[in-house]
Amino acid sequence: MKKGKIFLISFLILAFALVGGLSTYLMFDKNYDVVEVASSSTNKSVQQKLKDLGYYKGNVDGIYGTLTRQAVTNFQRDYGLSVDGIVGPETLNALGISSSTSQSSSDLYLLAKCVHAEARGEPYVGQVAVAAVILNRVESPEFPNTIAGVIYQPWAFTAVHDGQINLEPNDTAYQAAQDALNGWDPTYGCLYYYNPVTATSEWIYSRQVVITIGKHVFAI
Amino acid sequence: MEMTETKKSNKALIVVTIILSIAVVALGILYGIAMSSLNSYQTTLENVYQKNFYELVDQVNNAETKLNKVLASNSNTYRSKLLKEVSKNASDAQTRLNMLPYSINGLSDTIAFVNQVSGYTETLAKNLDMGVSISQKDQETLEKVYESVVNIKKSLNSMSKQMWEGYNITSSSLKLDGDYNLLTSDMSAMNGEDIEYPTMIYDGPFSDSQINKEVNGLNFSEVSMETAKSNVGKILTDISIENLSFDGETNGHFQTYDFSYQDDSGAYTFVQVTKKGGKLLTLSSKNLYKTKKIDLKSAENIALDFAKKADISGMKVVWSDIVGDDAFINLAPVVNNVIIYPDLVKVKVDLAKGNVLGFEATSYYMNHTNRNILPARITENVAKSKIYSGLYVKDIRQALIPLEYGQEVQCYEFICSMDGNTYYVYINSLTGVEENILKVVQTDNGSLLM
Repeated sequence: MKKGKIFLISFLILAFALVGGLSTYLMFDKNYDVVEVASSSTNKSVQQKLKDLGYYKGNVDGIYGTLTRQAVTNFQRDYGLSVDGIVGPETLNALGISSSTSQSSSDLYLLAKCVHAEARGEPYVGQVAVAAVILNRVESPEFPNTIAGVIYQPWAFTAVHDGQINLEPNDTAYQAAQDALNGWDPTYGCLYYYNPVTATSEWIYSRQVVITIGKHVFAI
Repeated sequence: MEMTETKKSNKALIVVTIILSIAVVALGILYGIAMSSLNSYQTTLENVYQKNFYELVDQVNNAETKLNKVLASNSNTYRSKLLKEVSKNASDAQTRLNMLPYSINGLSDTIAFVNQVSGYTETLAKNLDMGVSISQKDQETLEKVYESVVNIKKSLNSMSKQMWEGYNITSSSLKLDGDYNLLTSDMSAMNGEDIEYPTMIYDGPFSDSQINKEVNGLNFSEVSMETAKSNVGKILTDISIENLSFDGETNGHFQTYDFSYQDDSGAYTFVQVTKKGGKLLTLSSKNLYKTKKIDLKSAENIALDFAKKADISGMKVVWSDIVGDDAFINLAPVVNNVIIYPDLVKVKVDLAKGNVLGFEATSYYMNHTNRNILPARITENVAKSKIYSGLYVKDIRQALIPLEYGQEVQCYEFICSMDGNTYYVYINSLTGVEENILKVVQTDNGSLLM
């Protein structure tokens, strides 16, 4: 009986290990889900439109669940579209939502993505400032010379490194990016910013501080 | 009794062993799958890094040889050709360098040097093309630049040897402490402490003169925070000054007092006022309304009125466009019928209530001086004969335009169309030279001048 208990316990431990290992594995695999969330803002506008039209009764949360799928299917049936429950270009068109941005706004999109990932909790002007820092780096000899080069420079932005860059930017981030591209720069040429609470680099403190906006300190 | 219990526990033992074995095997398989995909990702990443590294070595080697030839050449045409190639090599080297995963601040001196070599050689080549020979001073600078490039090459070559011995960039790039990683120290032989980088004096891309531009338009004495605050009150007449909170100061190229306020709808607005003269420099706020009730023309008038209140008068709308639910309006001063483009003021107006959501006068205060506007030396018709014959001219204005590196030239501005596209063509009104062409590009986010 004692032996049985020992085995039972060791079995439980291993079962836990198995579940743990499996879930860790699946968690890493989930990276793909993060990419899929990329269309959550589109999902939100789809849900809103469907709600306005009386097809959708759930929350406008950007999550494409059963309720949304059901609403999309019903909508497609009523509007004579191919009924597949998938929001493709045709369905988007029928809903009056434009599906994609043109190629030339890819700089704006990238900038908005980085702003959203890095500073989404910050006041509006703090988001403009983050976008401005990226553009100042493009101009500076010490950094890459393109927006994509600056954003994807290794170790440059935490939120790029950990994949938050793939979250879909919200309207505020777009506005902030647009303002910065139009020449707004509340930091007047800053090349760095950091959060003094979480900054790990000693070096960053040696830079001359220009302005503090929200949680971020901007420096030259 | 004892027997049956032993039997029972034996049975349990077998079942447990089987389950355990399955668990171990399953875990092993999972681990194997995870590791093999991890390995393949790591290899792919390492290959990208190695490719970048070797291309960097190539570009630096090429730049070194060509720079050396420049020093040995006596032909301006050949020197110009070589310098353009060096500029391209340096620019390519910069791209590769910036794709390697050392710490962000690890090689900033080297990157700045490489970028400046690219800008400097490009500028020298341009001068040679215009018939300006390389001065004694530039010759000396080129020699120093060459020496530094040789040193970078040496340090890259010793890195190459490590690569041949199996150096792994990916694993050396893992963060150790803060931003610091091993790759940074392995590449630090290239940094400014070990190699002396010469100063390159030129007016071109990435030059120091571009970075350290001076503020020309704020020749006023310093005002107190209280004065600055009351100035904001005079401009933003619909808010009460008690609601305006002082947020601190900005000490960059511009020195400002910073204020913010929140209106009843929760909209947050941030305002910066120059210490010198207490002028409104920027205002930023977010559009909360998703409707359009006013037209572009009214928005333009709101922008002009606002600029006047902010003590910037004599302005004219030179560009306006609707992006989303906002109007973006650019204003510029007009002197003797000449539009002064360098002194641009940008205003953003929301189209629901006509509130000014953005105001940006940094270019204005950076550049604004009393300029000496000369009468045009060539006539409109002569200038028109200089533009491409396929263009259909819709409008002609006179303008002072900024060239790339701090220069300003007086031009005729021809607004033209061709094949459904709109172009702004600038012909120098003193010399007749075609100085610049801008194209109107339609995007999802409004039209852009490029």
